[in-house]
Amino acid sequence: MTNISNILLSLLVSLISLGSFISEDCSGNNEKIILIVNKDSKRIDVYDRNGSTSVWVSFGSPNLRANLFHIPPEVNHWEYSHEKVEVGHLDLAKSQVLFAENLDFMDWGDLEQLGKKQKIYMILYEDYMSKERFVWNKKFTAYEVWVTADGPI
Amino acid sequence: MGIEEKSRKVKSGPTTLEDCGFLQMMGYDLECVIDLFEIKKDSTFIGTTADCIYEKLKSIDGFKDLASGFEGLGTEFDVILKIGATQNASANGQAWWRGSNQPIEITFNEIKMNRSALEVARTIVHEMVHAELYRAINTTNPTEKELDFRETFNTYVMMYRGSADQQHNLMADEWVTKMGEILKDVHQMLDSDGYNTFKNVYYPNGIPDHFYKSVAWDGLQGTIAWNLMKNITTTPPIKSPLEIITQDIDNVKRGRKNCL
Repeated sequence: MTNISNILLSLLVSLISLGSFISEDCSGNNEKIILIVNKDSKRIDVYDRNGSTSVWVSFGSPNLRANLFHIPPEVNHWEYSHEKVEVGHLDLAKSQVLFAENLDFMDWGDLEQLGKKQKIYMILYEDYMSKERFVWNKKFTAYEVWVTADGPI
Repeated sequence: MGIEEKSRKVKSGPTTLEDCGFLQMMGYDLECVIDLFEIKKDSTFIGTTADCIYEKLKSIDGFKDLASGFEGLGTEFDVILKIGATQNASANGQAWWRGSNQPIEITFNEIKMNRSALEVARTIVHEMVHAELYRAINTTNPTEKELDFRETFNTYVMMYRGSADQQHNLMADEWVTKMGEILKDVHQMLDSDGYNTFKNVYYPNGIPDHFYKSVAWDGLQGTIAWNLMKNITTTPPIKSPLEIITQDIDNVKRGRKNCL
């Protein structure tokens, strides 16, 4: 797939995502929130630390920051034991899929609060936008994450 | 000023040291302890984890120094600690100067109280520094030290626009090391088991001093000192100051939330 078609594909998926908004699932459908994280974005840094993954999202203001943490069971953390699951197209269709780099700080604040009640997952952009993107039985790797949004103290 | 009762045998507690002493002479089993801090707690604060953390901080010398401007009878300014909504919904806390006849109100954002205990301690110390700066600027009986401080602060007023910028720049230049020392002293007291587990996982060779200083830096991003520090580059594998701070802040978030 060429770079141009990749960009068009990304644009198409972004436009579809723009129609969605972060909301709490009250229907009991157990709808997932899935964040697509692009390591190559200027606003996003991804670190592998002590067997876990940290994502730092920056904003225009230096005192605003959002973080995602995926802490797998192998780390033996006292509080977090995040799962890694395979999700297909049907799962994605039933989920709220959001592009991390499109979210503003207030969205992250909402996600931080929602994360106290329901699970939030992250799929890496390179997986989500891989050339098998439209293969029907393609499975994406979704990492459960914990979200924080830090404003000025 | 108040009296802390360790063992209570009377229905209503004594309110002054003299009353307490008198009751001791009368044979009541009371321990009279002077609470030096004129820092009051709102009902929203009492009994919370933040309250527990604050009580631990009170035993730290550096924090006592910080709070000493509010101690004893006849203080000009009181501080009241609350937990609730902050004006900026995303802030961890706020210190509000409401005028010279009003207590300085420190509000901790209730939706941000679920962070690690050391992060909450950092917010308490950070807001107390704001309160101390408000006090030192506004006192009508300044000491020589406070007069010197005002001169220093005036240069920050000239250099930076908003009061938050002025105070944060001053804090970054003058307070980060002290704040780090307070956090270092209180860490083990918050939950000794949690401290040991944290140390074993993230800093098996011992928690370095830079960890606490990094934690104190959080919230001071955007200050001149921060920007100068951010621009320092190193050759790998030596980590730059920014990389060290980023990793330390990443780690502190994973710490225990308990205060025991």
